[in-house]
Amino acid sequence: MPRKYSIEVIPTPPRHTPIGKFEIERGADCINCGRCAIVCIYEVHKRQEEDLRSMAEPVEYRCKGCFSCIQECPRATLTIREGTDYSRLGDSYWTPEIINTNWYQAETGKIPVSGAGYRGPFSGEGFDSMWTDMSEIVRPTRDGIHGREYISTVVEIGRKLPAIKFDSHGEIVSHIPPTLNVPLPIIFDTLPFGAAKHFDPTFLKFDENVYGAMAKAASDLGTFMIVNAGDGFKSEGHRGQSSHIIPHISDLTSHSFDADWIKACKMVELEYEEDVLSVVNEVKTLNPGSIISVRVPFGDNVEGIVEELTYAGIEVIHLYVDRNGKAVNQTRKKRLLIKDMTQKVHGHLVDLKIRDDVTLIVSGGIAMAEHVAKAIICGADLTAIDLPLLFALECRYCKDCQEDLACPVELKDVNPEWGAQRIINLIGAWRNQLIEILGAMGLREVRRLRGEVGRAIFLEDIEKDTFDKVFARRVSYDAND
Amino acid sequence: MAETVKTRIEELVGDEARVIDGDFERELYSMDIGEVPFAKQLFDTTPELVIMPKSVAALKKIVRFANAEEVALFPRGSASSGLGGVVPTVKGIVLDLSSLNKIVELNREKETIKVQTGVRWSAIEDFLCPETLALRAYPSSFFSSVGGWIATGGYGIGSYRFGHLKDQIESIEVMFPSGEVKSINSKEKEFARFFGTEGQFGIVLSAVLKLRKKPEKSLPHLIYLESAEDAFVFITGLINAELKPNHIKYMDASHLEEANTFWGEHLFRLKDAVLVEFEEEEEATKFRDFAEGRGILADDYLSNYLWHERLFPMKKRSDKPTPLACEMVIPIANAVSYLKEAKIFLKRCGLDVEVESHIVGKDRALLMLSYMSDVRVPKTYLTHMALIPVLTRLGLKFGGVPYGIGIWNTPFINDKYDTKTLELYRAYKKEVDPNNILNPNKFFAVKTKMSNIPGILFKTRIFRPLIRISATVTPILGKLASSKGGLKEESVLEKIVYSCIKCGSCAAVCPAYLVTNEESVLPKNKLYLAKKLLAGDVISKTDSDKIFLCTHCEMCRDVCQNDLDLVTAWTELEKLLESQFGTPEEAITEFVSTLESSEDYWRFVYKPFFQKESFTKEIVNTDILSFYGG
Repeated sequence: MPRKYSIEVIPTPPRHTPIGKFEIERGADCINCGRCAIVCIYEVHKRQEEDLRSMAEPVEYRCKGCFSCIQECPRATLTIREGTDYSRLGDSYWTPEIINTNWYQAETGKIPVSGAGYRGPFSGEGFDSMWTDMSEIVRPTRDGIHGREYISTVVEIGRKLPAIKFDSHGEIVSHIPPTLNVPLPIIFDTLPFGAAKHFDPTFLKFDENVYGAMAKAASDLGTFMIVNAGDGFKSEGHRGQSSHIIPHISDLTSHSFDADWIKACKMVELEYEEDVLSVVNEVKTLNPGSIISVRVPFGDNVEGIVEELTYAGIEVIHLYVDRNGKAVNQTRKKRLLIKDMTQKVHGHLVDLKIRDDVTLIVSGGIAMAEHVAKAIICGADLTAIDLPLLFALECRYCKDCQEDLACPVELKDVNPEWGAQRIINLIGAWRNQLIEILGAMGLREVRRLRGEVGRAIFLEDIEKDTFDKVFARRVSYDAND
Repeated sequence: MAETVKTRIEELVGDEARVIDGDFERELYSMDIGEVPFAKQLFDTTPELVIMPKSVAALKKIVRFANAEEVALFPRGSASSGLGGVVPTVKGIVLDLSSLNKIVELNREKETIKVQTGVRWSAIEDFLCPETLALRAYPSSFFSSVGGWIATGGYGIGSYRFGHLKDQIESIEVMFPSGEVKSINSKEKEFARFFGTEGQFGIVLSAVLKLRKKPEKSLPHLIYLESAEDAFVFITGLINAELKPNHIKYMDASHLEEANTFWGEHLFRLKDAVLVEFEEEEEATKFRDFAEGRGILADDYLSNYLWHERLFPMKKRSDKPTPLACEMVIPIANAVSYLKEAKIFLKRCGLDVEVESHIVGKDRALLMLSYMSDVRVPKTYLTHMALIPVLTRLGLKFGGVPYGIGIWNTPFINDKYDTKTLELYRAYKKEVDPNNILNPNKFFAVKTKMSNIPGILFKTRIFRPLIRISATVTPILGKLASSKGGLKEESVLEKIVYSCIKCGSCAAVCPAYLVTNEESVLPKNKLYLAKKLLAGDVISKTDSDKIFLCTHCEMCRDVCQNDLDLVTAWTELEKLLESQFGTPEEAITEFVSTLESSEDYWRFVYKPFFQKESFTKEIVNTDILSFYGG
């Protein structure tokens, strides 16, 4: 059995008081009986450290709304209501719940709880319309999953040969393409905002601290981090972690990349362009051992592009959508969603029998742990995440920075050590949830989940099964139309 | 001697009793609610030991021991009387009976409840909350013990309808000084001897109380009348009209004025008034017809408010902290004449008197005259105190009898009981308590320190001329004293320590007292410690630490009869002690963990009376009994 991969989570309190879902008020007729502190499992209620006889102010942001304290309070003097700032967090895709849950995971490293039962959406757009299979949940869970049983979350990046040829002496004669082992199907993507603007010292500081935290986390976790190969990310500090860094070269014509740096990296990512293949060759010449990933926007004719690149020998394709999980480069009126497009590309490659020739990285709108599993079920090998990393560093997604306003949580000032641990906690919690899902499905490794659409129920299918019989209408649910 | 007695008693009873010998704690047991500055000069009021027996068996051992060794025993309930009935006279042992407080048996068919006498009336009411039965009459000091009410007055709320306490008890169990326990039922001639005799003959261990069906309604009515005369005419008329009120109470205009001052609003008319409570709608309707034309009926919420206040009779009414009162049972027919004379007399002394009277029978009223004084001004205070026997003496003239005896009313024993009864009691005392160990040197006759020379003053023959002198001199002295003006107040704590009347209401709701069972954590006793501290006395660290055993739950403030700002007081007191001894963190940590692991505490916290529903004048028909669990 291989050595168990585990992520060491360390509770890391926030620097600023997070915006909680609930506001709690302790009435004046509290008798300091301490019942609330006894029944609260989230440490919202505590006695004052300096005087145990009195109750401390409730730590509101930790409240999950389980109402235990409300029910048990002998004086009925506690009040819970939804926080006023809470509903203003984020937007319709990055909901307050998502942001808050990621904060919680980054602080505690624990899997999230939703308090009074899971009221998650069982329908809706995108990943929300997928329900994962939990048929094996009766098997020994928890202890088994996190203890005795080994569930592997390792994925490989690179081309996988269908077979290896040996000569008569038993020596391998096949050309083995380079591969990278990632201990979990999550890598870090470039950040959608807050990225370096060359001249502004604020942004230099941001780079140093935020990217510094991400780089350290990536290195500690054994995963990888994609960064724009611009000037901004050349500082010595990050060079040291270049074994975990994937430079992303977006402007292929100017070749504005640092050749020495490329030589040191295990993997390089190139933005898709017409003549991307020539640049691929250039990079391969510089660093023959490196893996090349081509970053292709999900959009019109994406299957065609993927097919072409795969036949051209590209080992890794990074398909991306916008921040909210919608196609970027598409002429259709109704933009497709990451879940449908991934299925489409994956299915196309399977049909062509070339699926294992290429690794598919999918990114854009991956907001929760379950999205990772669902993207893989749709056919991705692994995912790349962006915003949740900023959430781990307390980002409130207020978008003030995009309007050149001051960041309310002063992201640029994060301590890289502190930030790295917060990211590690978040990823630790996400990985545990992935393991829970795999365990509930009876799977032992995440690689077997890829494209396993049978492991999920799709709302479209249920609707079709149920209502087509009733209304006998010819409605096509094919995502291709 | 104390040491050896302590060791021997501890050997005798083991864990079955708590033996308390701390200096400060013993001092706490040296007084009742009466503020008598010279008590310590006359008697050895500080007991040598305080024992809190946890079982009847343990109590028996202690009583036998005391009888054999001739050590005086002073049984004690919640000490909410002020006549010295529980105050030790010759050191001895105080028996704190508050741990013998079990509710033994509820008999739903016979509608009776058997309780140990250490139980508080409020606790019985609380226990009966889920039942269909309720108490008959109860004392206005609702937090006092059953045993205490048996040994003292026996008149209270509901006495008009249900009569004296002894009419509501089926039987009692008594432990005599010999250790013998005897059950006595109400038909036996011995029975009545234990009521109002302040533990002279034996320790009442348990009582079977008669209950009744829970009333469906509480319909208090307040009627304004033009004068005290009108009020008592009204009351007499009401009694003759054969209506069935539960309770009738008279209040004079200054009583209502006090309520107005308390609310800072002109709620009540400044008239004499009668508060009548009915439980049946029908009777109340009849009553309203009866009252029509005789007086003015007040708004419902005002009636309800005053009805609620019946259990808080000691509300503060002036800037002076110490209340003094004279309580007498007097024929209704003479009540007005007595009141008139008493008021004229007190006015001459420069005192504002407040009168309240519970009608306790068809022809008798329990009359309470009270006025405020200030114990910090000793000379004036003593003069004011001297007026109580004068008022009592005046009452006797109108056929009244003092309500209780204790120490300070001993000169009136001959007026309370006729010669025959008294002789019988004396003989009975000799028979059951030949060594005179139970509550000695009071009631029958006072015996003081210094070869009883000061005690002579308490002899009826000497006492009467004395008070006659005092009646002539006091008005002059009183006027002189009251013209001096008040003292200036410094801190809240300072103000409060002298305002606490030690009524003990706080004991029923104090969670710290519940889990520690320590007299010194009680709010009233914390204030006593504060008083000593402010006076410059030395406080030990052990006693100081106990002050911090407090959850700051503020329940004491809610029930405080005097409406004292105890919350601020505790903060100030703790600050004072912290500057001397530092914060006793260990003691606090241990206290909190004891509290949280105490099942009693959690049961207590979830009791209905903790579910605060504050009484405001907007809430009509909210009754204090529902507040405390009824």
